[in-house]
Amino acid sequence: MNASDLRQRLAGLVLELVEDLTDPAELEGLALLTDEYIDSFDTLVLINRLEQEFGLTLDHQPDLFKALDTLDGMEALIRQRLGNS
Amino acid sequence: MYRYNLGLRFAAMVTEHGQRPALLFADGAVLTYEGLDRLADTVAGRLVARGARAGDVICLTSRKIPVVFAAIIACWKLGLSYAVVDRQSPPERLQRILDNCRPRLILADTTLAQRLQDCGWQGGDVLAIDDLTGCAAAVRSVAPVPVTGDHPAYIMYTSGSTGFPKGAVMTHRNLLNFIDWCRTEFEFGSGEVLANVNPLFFDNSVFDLYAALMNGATLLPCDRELLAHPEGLIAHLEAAGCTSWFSVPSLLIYLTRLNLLGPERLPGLRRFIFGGEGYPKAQLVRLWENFGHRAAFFNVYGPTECTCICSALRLGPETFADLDGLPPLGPLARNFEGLLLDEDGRPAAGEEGELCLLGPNVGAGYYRDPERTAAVFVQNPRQDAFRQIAYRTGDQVRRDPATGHLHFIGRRDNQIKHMGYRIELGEIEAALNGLPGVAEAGVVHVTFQGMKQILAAVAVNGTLTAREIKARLGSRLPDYMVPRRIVILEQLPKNANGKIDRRDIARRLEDPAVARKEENRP
Repeated sequence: MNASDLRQRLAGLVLELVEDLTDPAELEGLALLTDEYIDSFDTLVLINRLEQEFGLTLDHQPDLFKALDTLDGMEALIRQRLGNS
Repeated sequence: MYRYNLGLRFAAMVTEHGQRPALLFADGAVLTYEGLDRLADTVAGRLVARGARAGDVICLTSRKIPVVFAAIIACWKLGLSYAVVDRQSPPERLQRILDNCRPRLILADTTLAQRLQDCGWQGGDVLAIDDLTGCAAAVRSVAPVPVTGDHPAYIMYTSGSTGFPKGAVMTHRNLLNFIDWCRTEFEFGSGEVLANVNPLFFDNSVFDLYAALMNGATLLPCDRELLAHPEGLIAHLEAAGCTSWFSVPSLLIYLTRLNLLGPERLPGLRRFIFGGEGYPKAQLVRLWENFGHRAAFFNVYGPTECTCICSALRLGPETFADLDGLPPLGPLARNFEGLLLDEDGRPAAGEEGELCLLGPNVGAGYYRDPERTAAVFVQNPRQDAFRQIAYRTGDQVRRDPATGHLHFIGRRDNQIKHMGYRIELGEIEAALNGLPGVAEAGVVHVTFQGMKQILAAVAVNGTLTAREIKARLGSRLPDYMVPRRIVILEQLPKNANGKIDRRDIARRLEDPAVARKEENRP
């Protein structure tokens, strides 16, 4: 999977959960969880969606909150778990 | 006359535990029992000076700061009823609550003051909480008020199917019984340190507040801002030596999934209590694996109308022999008797039926709402010799004849539990139907994207979009009641009787592809 494909898929998943944003570019640099763009309920939805989309189990993943907080963190996490870093 | 009351009970705590910390805040602020008592007397003096008298209602902001806890104690002492209101409540909902409880005074922080301004509140005196915080001179002589067990202590607002929240009233007697039961059931002592993650306008917080401050324990108030930073939340609880946790399962599932409740975390914790909604065993087992060897696990259940907990079950390894469904509700607490009723409200013949509660913890009805009170606070159908009020929970349960444990089956109506909050789907539908441009609406609670979510199907006149509807609902309903997804349909499906077919709506909306397509329609 190339970098832009992964980034695009992640942005698509996140945009499903963030009400007020529609453009993937607007997600860049945001602290999605810390600044409550995604609430605790949707954090669980996001984990479920990431697991489904990439066929992963994210249990026992250290610093998961930090990883999910930004698109960069999410991308690094998925790459690491797919052995694609 | 039953003279014992919450104020006297707290005074006994101050005598016994005066120098112990009563409240320990995330910013490091500490109030001892004596300090809290002094602050409560100061607030009491201010309330009296502003005209508050026994029997009046005082509304309090939900912000967890020392003066709000002191105000609650001041209300105990003065025989006032308090109602904590969500300081971020949508203006219309706030207005409806205030119209119902008609407070003598509102203690508001800046956020709540702004909401009051937004809803054009002119019905009563508003006291800025900052004025109380800055008041250094303690008033040590609050005139004794003859508060009895029958005095209302608080009003807790919960969702109502007609769109108007209901105010459940609890008396001093209800709560004194509840406090004693908590002490023995959970073996609370003065060395305990209880987390308070539940919002003060949510009935689970009744347990936090009363189990801690009426047993000489320390309470750790955790505000919404702290909950938004879960790593900081857990670090704070660890630093404070938290021994006891009570929350809805949703929060524990969230923290577990974020790997913040591993076996090395919260080393002082010896008790997990959860309730307000079912905890699927398949999820709960993960917490059990990490903490089951050193912490007691309690599944609790109960309605807002009956001091929030009416049953508790301590779980053991046998709970996880299979991972299907939910743990049992357990046996009723000693303060309750239970009846199972059939559809006509008569004692059920078998071991299944609507749970109906009796006993000293059954509350005093809904505040200024005789019609809705009479609908569920009914005469004990097995007793015609004297008046004995029973509360119909609306919860269908099965009683295991071997253990006496209750098992939750479902609801008689359209009430749901979502993230622990009790929600009438009818209240959401009423809010939707009240929006200009909405022709009809159906609301369902279904599994979507792997989570139970509130979804709505709406038929509109004109060009109203799902996004616009959601934005407008936000001014009428709290966040947790606004449907996660709203889809626009040309018309809602109807059953043979011409009524909205919610099963069909649920079926359509559970399919993500359909939901997404419909949601994006103009």
